[in-house]
Amino acid sequence: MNVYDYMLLDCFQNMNGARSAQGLFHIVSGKRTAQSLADAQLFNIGKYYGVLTNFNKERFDEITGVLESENWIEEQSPGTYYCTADGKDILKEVSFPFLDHLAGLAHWSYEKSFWLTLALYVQSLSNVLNNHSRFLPVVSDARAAAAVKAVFPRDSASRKMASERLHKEFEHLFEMYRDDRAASLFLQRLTRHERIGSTFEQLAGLYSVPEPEARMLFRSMLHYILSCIKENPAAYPELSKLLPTGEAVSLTISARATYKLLAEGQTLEEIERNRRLKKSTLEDHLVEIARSVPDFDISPYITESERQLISRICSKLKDKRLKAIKDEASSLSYLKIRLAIAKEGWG
Amino acid sequence: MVNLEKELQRHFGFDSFRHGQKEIICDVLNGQDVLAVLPTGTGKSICYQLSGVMLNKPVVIVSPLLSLMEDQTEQLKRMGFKRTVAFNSSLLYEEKREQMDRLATSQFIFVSPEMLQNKSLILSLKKADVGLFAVDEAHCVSQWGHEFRPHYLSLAEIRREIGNPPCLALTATAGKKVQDDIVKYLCLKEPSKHIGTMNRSNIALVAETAATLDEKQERLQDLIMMLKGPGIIYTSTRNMAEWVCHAAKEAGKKRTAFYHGGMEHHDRMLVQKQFLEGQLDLICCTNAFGMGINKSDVRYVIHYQLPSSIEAYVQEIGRAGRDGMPAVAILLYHPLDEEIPFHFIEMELPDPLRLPAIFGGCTTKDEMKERIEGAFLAETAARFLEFYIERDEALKSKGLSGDFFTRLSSRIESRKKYKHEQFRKLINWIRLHSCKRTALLNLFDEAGVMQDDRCCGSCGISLSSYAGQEEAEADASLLDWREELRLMLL
Repeated sequence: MNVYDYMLLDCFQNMNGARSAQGLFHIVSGKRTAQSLADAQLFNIGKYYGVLTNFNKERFDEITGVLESENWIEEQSPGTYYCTADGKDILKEVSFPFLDHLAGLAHWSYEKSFWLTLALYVQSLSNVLNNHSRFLPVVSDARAAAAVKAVFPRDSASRKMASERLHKEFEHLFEMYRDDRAASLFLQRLTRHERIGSTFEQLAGLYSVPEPEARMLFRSMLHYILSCIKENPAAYPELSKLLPTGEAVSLTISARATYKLLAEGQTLEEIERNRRLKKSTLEDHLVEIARSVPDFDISPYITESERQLISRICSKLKDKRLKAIKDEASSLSYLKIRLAIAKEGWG
Repeated sequence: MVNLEKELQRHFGFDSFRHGQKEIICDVLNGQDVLAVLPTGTGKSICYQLSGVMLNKPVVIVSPLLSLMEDQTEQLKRMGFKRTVAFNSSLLYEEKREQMDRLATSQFIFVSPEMLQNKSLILSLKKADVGLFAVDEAHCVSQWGHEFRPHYLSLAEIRREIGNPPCLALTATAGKKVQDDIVKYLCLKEPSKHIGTMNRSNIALVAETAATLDEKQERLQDLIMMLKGPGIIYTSTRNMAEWVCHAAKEAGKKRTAFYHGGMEHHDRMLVQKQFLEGQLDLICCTNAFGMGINKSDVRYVIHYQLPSSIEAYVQEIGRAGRDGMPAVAILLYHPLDEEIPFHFIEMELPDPLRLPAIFGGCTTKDEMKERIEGAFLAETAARFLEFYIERDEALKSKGLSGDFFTRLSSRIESRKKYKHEQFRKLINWIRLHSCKRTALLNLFDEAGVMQDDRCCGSCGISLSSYAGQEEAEADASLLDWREELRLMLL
């Protein structure tokens, strides 16, 4: 059983038939809907949220097919599966300890930009330290380039200090992580002076592991690093300066722009017009902001009694799909329901 | 008169112009419209770059490909031209807005033909006092070019709207007919024409026909082991690129990687840079690889499967020998290989029979876009439809008529027919026993040449002169993370 089989089987076990395979696909591929985000949390599979972004539905179905043919999962109603006794046994037998460090739901909104910034920062620092200032950047992303430019030390003395600090921070993290192979693989993905980083396919060859495992070894380490520096930024000054800045760091760029305008006092209608957004996109932003920014006030959009009503319905209903809640509270808009849910969380 | 050589040295670090560049720049600076046909790898971009510096006004560069645009923007910025901006579909609304506000102080403005239809962008350009309107890959304006981008047809009008700056049309491959189309559709006024020769005398041309697919495969293995890199092997499909890479590695060519459009962006970047930095001897790839990649010492290009046109072939072999040193292009052919390019030609444009079903009853622009998205068409096919539907204004009245479908169908059919004919020409060229070089030049309306040495397979050539061992590989054993970290940061 490869690591992807294990991950999806683990998810099926946790969901226990309460959601369709399609719903699971949305979770692991990181679909940004209220339903997927809430479900990931609800079924305790948040660590897998958005971890298989490179998957399309065919690839996902392929693995579901494998799990089914091994009798590890069984279809209970069309498109919905539960984990069989055999499946539970195999989950106990097999283990991929590094998966414990995955934390998709915690980091999904900035992990990619952090990674690109880190890759470019390390490449730049390593080359400049070796007096090689005309190198070919392995990251073409303009936002990452701007982020690196903003924090890059200006003179050689401070560059030397920065790289020594970064060295210490990595060293500390890798020692705590206690998996020398994963540490080496992570560094091999990065580009330094005189060595361009490796693709996942190349990493798989170098470390004699299947490609899915190479990807997950990398991803787990990345999430581990993010968890550590988020928890204690003061201990990792070099790494944490590469995190996106601003109060609403965990928002996507577009939602952040909306948030900024809201904070400046623009109305929803004005933002819709000025940013040329579709109404549905703007509503997605609102929900995202409600979920990620603790002190964001949703009272302009929903009254206290409406919130209480939704909360009552949620605690009563076993089926927590939006549709089911809407059926119970037909007078409330989907937006109101989504906002209330995002604010409360399911936990 | 300013000393152009001095400026070239000062801004770009080159000691002298390559053939044709200086004349083109002089004509541009004199305010003339210019058509420049310069073969791949002979420095097209320097023509608008230096012109822009000398004019000291913003230059608009229309570029059809996102990746190409990114490369050129990055390159200019690295050379110190920080006031370079690019307008493409990957921008957020805010970023677009901000770039538009700064247009008048921008030096180089890259823009896709589709983005250039945007009214507020046109308005900003109008105010920016553009000094030069450069059109890269100008053959895209012609239905008789190997690539056709209908949105190029509206460039002449846009150029007029933004104050009619002089136009520099650039392309690497254009026969007589395409050249005429460029002049006509871009409305070039008495243009000065600079038509370079397609002939790359340092690249030997070889086409071998295999009796069976097995034989072709064996021949490839032999060539891989014999030839000295860096080399590129082109295949038609992603799977084949991966397979050839795998086979090469198995055979002992360890420093080999594959590259195709199905890989994620970061992985593609890594492979590209590994090749440029000399960490790879061989790349197995689809035609997704090569645009904007400037590696001067590629020694061989092998086509393991067929490109879909003679122009694509010329462009791909043009990635060899840019340093002027001997290089070789080898095409391996088996009749069964013709299937895939034929299929691609079919896919590139929508099936006329499907049109009424896709668009019947469609009345608004948004609806049209939705229908196109829902029809799962290839990108080229979607762009084609969007352009003609918008231009025909058929939507404005009572929806798309049967008349409109008939017109569109005949447009599609004639384009397909043309592409089939062009593909035929490539096959005929492969099967030819006379001089390949002369025949290839003739296909681009050029006279043949006599080349005594290292000309082509028909004139006789020894591949052993391109043979050799790769340099000893660096020890590929993996480092302990502590050692690796030390090398990286201390």
